[in-house]
Amino acid sequence: MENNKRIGVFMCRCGGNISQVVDLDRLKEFAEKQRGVEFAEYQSFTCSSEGQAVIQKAVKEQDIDSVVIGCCTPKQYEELYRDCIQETGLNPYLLEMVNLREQCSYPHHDEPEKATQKGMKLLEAAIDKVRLLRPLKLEKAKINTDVAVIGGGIAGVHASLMMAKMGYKVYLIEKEATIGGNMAKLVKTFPTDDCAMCTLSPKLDEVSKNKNIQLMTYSEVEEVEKTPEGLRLKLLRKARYLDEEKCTGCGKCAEVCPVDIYNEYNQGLLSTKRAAYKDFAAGVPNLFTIRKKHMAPCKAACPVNQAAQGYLALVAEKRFEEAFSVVYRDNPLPTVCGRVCNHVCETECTRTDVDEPIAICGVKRFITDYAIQHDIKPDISLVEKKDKSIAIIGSGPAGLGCAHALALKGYGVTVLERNEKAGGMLAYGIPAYRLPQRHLEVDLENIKRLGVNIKVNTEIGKDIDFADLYRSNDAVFIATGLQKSARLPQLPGSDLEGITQGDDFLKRARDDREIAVKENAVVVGGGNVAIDVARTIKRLGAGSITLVCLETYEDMPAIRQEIEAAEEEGIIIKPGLSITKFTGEDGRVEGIDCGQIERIDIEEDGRFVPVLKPDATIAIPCEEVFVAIGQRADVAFVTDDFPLDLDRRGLIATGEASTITTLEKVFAGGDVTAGPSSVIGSIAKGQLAAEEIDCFLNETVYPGKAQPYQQMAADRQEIIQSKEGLYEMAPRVKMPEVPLAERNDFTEVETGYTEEMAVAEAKRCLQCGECSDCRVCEAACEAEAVDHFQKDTFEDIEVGAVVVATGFKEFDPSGLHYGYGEFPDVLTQLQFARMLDPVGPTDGEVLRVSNRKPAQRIVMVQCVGSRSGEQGVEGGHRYCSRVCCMAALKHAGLVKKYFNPDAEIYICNIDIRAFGKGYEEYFEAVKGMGVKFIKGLPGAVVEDKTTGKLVVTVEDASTGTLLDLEADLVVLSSATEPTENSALMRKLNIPRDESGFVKEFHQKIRPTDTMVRNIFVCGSAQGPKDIPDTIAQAGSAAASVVSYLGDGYIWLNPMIATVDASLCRACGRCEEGCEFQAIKVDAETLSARVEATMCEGCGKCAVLCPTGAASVHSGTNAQIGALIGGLKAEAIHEF
Amino acid sequence: MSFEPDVLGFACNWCGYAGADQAGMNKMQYPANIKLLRVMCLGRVDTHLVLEAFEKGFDGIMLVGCHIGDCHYVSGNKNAALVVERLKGILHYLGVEPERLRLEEVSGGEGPVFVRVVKEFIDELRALGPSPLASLSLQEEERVAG
Repeated sequence: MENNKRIGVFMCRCGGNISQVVDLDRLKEFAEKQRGVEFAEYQSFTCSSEGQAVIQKAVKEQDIDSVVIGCCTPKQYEELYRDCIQETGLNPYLLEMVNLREQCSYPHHDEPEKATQKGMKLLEAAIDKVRLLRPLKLEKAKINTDVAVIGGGIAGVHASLMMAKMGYKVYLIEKEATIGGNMAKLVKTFPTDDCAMCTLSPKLDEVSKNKNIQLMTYSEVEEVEKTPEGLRLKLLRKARYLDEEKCTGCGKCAEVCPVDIYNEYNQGLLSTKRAAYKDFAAGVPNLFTIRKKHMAPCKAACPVNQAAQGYLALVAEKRFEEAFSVVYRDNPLPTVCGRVCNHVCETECTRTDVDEPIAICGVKRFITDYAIQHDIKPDISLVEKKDKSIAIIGSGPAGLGCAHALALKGYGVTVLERNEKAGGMLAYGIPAYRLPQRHLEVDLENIKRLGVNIKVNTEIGKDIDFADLYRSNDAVFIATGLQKSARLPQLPGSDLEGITQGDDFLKRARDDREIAVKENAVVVGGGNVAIDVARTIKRLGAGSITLVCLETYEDMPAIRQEIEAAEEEGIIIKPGLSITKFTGEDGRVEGIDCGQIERIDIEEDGRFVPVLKPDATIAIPCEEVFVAIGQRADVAFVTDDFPLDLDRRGLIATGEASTITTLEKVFAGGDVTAGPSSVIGSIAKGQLAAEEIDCFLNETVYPGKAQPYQQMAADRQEIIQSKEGLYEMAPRVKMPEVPLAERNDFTEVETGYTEEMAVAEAKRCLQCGECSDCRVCEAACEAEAVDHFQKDTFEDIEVGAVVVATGFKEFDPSGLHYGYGEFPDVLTQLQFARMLDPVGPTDGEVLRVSNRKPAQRIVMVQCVGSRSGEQGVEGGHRYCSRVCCMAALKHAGLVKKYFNPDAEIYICNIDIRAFGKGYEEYFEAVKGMGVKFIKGLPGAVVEDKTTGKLVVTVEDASTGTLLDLEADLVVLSSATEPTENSALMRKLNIPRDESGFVKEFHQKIRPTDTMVRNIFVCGSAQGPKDIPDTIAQAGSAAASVVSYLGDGYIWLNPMIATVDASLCRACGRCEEGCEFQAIKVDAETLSARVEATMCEGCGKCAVLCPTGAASVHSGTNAQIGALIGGLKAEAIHEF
Repeated sequence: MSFEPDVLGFACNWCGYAGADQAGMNKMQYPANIKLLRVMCLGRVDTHLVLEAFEKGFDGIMLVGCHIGDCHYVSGNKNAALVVERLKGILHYLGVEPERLRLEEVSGGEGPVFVRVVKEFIDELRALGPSPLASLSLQEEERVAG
């Protein structure tokens, strides 16, 4: 077939663009000599209708069956020429183009001879290839006619409305909570000065009412997948924590929300917003949104996940009663915890990395003190009683935590306590100077109010049999803690008099404040009990107290503040020592000998075995020794008939992170399962037991704690960065204490914050999580729409086309020499627009940000981040942002017209570009108002320390004078740049230009098409644009989409993969390598098959194919080989 | 006259070829030694096509495509990188300097980058001199002709 091809070669002078460099006469002559070429000619413009007519005429008259056209790049007019030859009846794919302009005459115009030679080779290659071309089959396929518009700014809104009105179904996808985009932030719009909202909001309203538009706000495109009928978009529907169906947009949630966060709508200018928010009243849809970032580190660290951020926020607003209910929601013993908690929340507090952690525990204590003072009780009105009973053994924190949680669920709960007072270690293990009995009583009282029956003086095995208890209850929770004191190993002198177990002593001391103690005492142990013993005997009159412990000072397990308080009170701590013997005479202890520890080995059963340095004995004389080296569990009351397994430490064995024991319907938690732990840790275990018991009684499995946040971990440094400007440096408010000299009785040492102190301390909170989980909005919402446990969801939509309308963001001028971010009185134009809004953060007054005094002199700086020479210099852009001149003129005019006619306004500029309809007139009008224009951009903006005003140094090029302008405000006309869109563009598989804007198919004639046939672009996503141009482009994109979708059928690209079944051995490499699932091995025919609607024609399969079965239409090995040969051929022997 | 290398460029339709077009549109000048062969994707460039080009006598071959991660067909350029890697070994075996084969990433907006890499490559090829296969193929032609 190739041998008898009749080839026509048509070349274009391109009005001289080509012919002035490339010698077309020689090319024509050369072409005519090539085998099969029947016709060769050049003309002025092959693309014009005359030019096309010449081609068509020659094809018909000369009986041409294959066409070579040498003109501009095939990327521009290949389609046009295919149509042109198709009209003559030729198959449109019997065409090959030669790029004589962009790749020949243009880049080699300095070397016309070489350009001509190159042109010949390009031409020969095309002729060689066209000989091998075959006609391709033209086919139509069905496509989806729905459209996705990404971006709900004015571009996306307008495009959506246009398409919806033409009857197409549109999904309008917006990542923010409401649509409106940047236009909603502009106060007025040039050149008419009509209010932005007045023109925008009717359109937004129309969107919400149009039945063809499905609005999907707070949503992002997560994945894009090609389908035979178009694209499948997987959308991330971010949780609003509000039910969209129920929310009425009333705004009660925002009214009661105590959390202030960065206000994006006002660009952070002089305002914050609540964590429950709607950015502007006219926002569509009329829904509020709760912003949750991640669980605050304090809440995440707390074993019961106290919403510390929540009660801090409420205390900061003096809403103490609400704060109390937030505290009480998660913690049944807040009065206790406000005093004795080991507060890991403070250890994890983000503020630690700024100055000092928030005194969360101290604020909590204030809240509980306030509740006592004002007789505030927890709300227990919602509890519904259930007909099941649970027995709890032990009334320590774990038992009480469980009792409280079960009672809230309505169960009948009986707590059995063998001692005279309830509270376990809280009543007997913690000295009164830390936890007065009456405060413990407050929490106990609240638990009893729920109907919990606490039976004291009731010992299992003595007063009631475990078997009876087991039989008469639906479940039993064992929370007996650690009751037996751990003993030192038998040491020489162990039987001397004057050696006391620490916890026995503390229990006695709680009741008897008059116990006689000796002058010199030694306490053995490094935990909280040891410290408590030491501080207690100090109060009972001991003079010299030495505390020895195995651990190093840093590793002592006692609460750090307690260790420090003990030292303050004169207790000497000697860490790293192991007692080796007690010394004494006449049967009474007179001292101890200690060895210095080299290292500590831990035995299999968990015992510490200290290894001592040789010959380093220290003798400490004393009259009394208190041993407080830990406690052991005692569960002997569970008789042998019950198979309750213990672990090797003698603790009750449970499932991991569970309270379920080996004994049916018996649960255990707290120290009796975990060994020594904190009060709050034990409460958490009790609460876990309550959940597991509840599930057990309902015959389900506890799925784990439901959390009101989706992200648990947070990066502290990241939080601090994001809170820049939202907090001030302030040291932690010191907790008032009884002076050292007066600490000689059991009066509480810490006296608690005053209201002022608590509020000041609470205000220091950074509000890490954004939403604080205080849930006051939940109570305030009458529509019951708030749902703090909502999760992000995913939703798939199928469309035939996508419009990218992702818009712009303002360039961040921090780091340039204009003082932005350094001086509060330096703003951007978008921030200034917010200031000029009558309902904006300053109520429409033009004020200095630093002191909120009226601004008299305003200096504006143009081209900030635009037109900055080399790309990337200080992060700036080479392009002109097109809107900033007009924005500056508009704002200057508005200040003059509406705010302060006497204001002095300077606009420093390179030149003013007032290019649009009515713009030059607008410029003239602003000039007429007395706004001054300075030719030149400032070299520096500094602050005059004496006046507090800004000084702008700028050389006026028109007069050559150097000016130092004193200014109240400096407003930077910052560049517009594309939104963070690289990930999205990658998913959509459309390229971006060097500035990051979406690359259009052709800047002039196809500005709203992209390289992908079913993806379109409009507005600032394509390049900087003002509103009129954006609207025009949005309309163009809408029309392009509609013309593409048409009636739902499109012509398929025939230049796709093809398989020669006779060569295929069904190895599957093509299928494995294809990114489009377009080629698959057919199990029946054992040959690969191409899905025409999905194949993109990349040709990867042809390379992967080991046998040569896979190939590409119009891109076969032979055809490419012909091009290679043609390009190399030493054809031009005449030179 | 100094040696002028003959260079073939395989350029993908979306990035390499478009980048060259952009350089041309901006009248940026680069040596006419390079001639581009347009493929839809560098993923179409097979080992034997490159070897065929060397055999025909090109002194250097450049594959110009999208930046990794920006391939219009997702992974074609990654596949091309594997092919180039393999080819370098083969070229070495054949006694052809592997530097005569290059893979470059040039986006459709990067005309200046295209010009820079072309100039660089041609300078390097000038220093290397004619491809050993080019002189062979010439001798072959002469032998056949003679």
